[in-house]
Amino acid sequence: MSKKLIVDSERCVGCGICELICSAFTEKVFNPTIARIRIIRLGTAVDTAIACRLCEDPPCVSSCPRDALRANENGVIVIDEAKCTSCGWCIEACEFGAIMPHPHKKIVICNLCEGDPPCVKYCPKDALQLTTLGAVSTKSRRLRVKELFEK
Amino acid sequence: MGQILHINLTNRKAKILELKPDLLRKFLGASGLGAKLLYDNVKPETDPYSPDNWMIFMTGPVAGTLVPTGSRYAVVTKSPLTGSMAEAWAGGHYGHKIKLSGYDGFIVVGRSQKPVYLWIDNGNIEFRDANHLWGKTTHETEGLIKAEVGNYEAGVACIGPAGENLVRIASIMNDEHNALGRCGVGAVMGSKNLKAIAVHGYHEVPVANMDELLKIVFEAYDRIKKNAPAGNVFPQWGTLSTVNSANEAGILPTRNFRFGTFEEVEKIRPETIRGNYIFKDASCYTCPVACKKRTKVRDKHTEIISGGPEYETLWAFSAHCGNSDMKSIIKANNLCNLYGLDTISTGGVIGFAMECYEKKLLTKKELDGQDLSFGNSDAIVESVHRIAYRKGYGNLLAEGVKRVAEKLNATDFAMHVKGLEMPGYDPRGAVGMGLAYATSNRGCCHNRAWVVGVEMYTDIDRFTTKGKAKLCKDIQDYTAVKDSLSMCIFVFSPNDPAIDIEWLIRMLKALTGFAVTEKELWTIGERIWNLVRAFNVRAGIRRKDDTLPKRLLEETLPYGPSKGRVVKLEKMLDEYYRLRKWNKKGIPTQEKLLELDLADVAEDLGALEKQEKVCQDE
Repeated sequence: MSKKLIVDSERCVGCGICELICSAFTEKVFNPTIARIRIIRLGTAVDTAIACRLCEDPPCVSSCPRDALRANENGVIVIDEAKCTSCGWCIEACEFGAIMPHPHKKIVICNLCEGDPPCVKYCPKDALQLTTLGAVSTKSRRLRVKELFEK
Repeated sequence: MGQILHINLTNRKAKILELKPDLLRKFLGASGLGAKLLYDNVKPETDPYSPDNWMIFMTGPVAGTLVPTGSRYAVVTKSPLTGSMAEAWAGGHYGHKIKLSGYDGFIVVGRSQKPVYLWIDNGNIEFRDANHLWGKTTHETEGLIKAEVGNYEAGVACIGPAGENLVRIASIMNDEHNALGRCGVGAVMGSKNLKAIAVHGYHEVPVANMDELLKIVFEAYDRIKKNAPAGNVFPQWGTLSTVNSANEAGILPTRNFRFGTFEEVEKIRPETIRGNYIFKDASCYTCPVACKKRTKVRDKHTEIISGGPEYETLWAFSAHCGNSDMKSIIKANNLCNLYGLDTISTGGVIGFAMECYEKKLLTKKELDGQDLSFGNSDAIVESVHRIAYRKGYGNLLAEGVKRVAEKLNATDFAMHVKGLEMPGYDPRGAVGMGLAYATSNRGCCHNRAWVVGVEMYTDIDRFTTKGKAKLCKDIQDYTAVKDSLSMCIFVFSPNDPAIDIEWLIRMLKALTGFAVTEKELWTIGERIWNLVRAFNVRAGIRRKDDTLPKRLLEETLPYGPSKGRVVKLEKMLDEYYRLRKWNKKGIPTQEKLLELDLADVAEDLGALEKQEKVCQDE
């Protein structure tokens, strides 16, 4: 099972450190608007972050009219810069808004930094994790039962 | 840093100002740079509400980077509450969005004929009609503007009804629950018919040495994690744990500073609030501390989801007003944020009115039938509404404690310094804090020098005046540096700082490429402090204003761990002036100003003193 970047919204405080870590490590600048992971804050109640979810049969790939996108063996979306024309259909197709336009490159998508993403490493609240859905599911089960037990 | 946008609301024109590097080396940024710009461009006698008053929104050099807590911003203007320089700072996510827009800050001058808001998008500015936003709360305004400009990631700083109605204790709000709270900066914005400034953009922040800076930043994360206040207390309790320490030391001001402990403290303890009302933590941009707390309150018909309360807000609406009803405190906090009111000053003036009511200086009739007895939580919430809209007696309270006291002949127990309402530490049990209150540059402020932290949490004797002048001066100067870098006090706690000056020097070198020395940084702090003082001196501030309310100087606390004490201020003040090299009137000496490379200021104050001497001789 491939590993995904999982965000624990209950831990996320919306500090945006992941955004700037991403821009600093991928492009050596501080600029959240080019980050591949982005925080979302809804009013006072919700803070979370979103990066590529590594969908099975990814809609971004099937939406591309020029076959510029493909999923590699780990599920990571790879962009063929030569074929991409920045038409933006993939951006529309992504249900998570995890594909971003970019001022110099065509589009950018989180590639999990070769399996060792610094955003996970430096999240101050341990809200980010690189893990499998199986592990998330196990953790959720344990957590819910523990909560019930504590009640 | 490099560019600021100068915006004239009168003729709706904007121009770009280049910042000279030597100016940045002398004043760093944020409030330091703001003070310099205000000093140079606004005459000290200017009416705060006149179009000639400037509002300077400034970030610091670290904003928009990973430097922890660096994405705060400052507003500097002339205060309608104190008549001297107003400085206010806020966290949230607005500071780094100013940087994204391509500017380091904005200067707003003039006055718009009609309500207006500004949309600064990636370097461009639009003046937009705000008629339909006038009267709206800060939350409504933020939501509507984001929808109108079609950018939900935009930052919005705006005023609510209080600022529009020129309430002297009005704030400016950003990201719903972050306040540029103090000194009535919201009223200045209202006087300019400026409802909001929305910003966004795609600019990156230049860094001299990224690899080195990242190393230094991660070292700070590590230090923060291991630091007691920043790594443990603030993440867990926010500022709320201060309730416990203040009450234990007998310095939790209760019922308008008549008592130092609150008998119903159990109901407002952090443990109570965490267990019953807090549902999540939140943080400002690029801050690993995440001190902010989100609270939820349900009553019969509604559910309030709110930011805060912080310690100061909690104190102002609880112990200060003799109130222990948490729901009403969270409600009052939320209303202040919606209407754009400073919570310290609002709670401050309500508590003061309560004592006036008890002493029959205010009657029920004058209070529109409200029973303003201490502890009446409904009356507290109602008063917040009325202050924001200047309705009935709210019109009087909207003027702040100082002006109400002068009108009612109640100055002896009017808890303010230079017109700014007192925060929640009783200096009779932390006398160094008394000096900090008396000498703070923006009126009665706890954050220009959090001396009380040292007095409460270290071995230093909190009742002695010995050594306090030096302690106070040092913390003030260092704070001026921190505020001009626009970083947060929570990693600089004077009792146990997470990061130190040596770290700051390395960070600044990696970020800007400039090497500064420790001595230089201290001089910058002192320079900024003296510059603000000089503005205030020219606006009429003298030794007579560096004082405390009579209650703290003459009345003792009747019981509790700080029983029987008063603040012996004069002795500390003499020593403080000596250390600052200010003369007996509280005016910085020529020698000191020249030493700080403030020759123009020395000339101004020299001329002023000469003129005053001529007046006296005549």
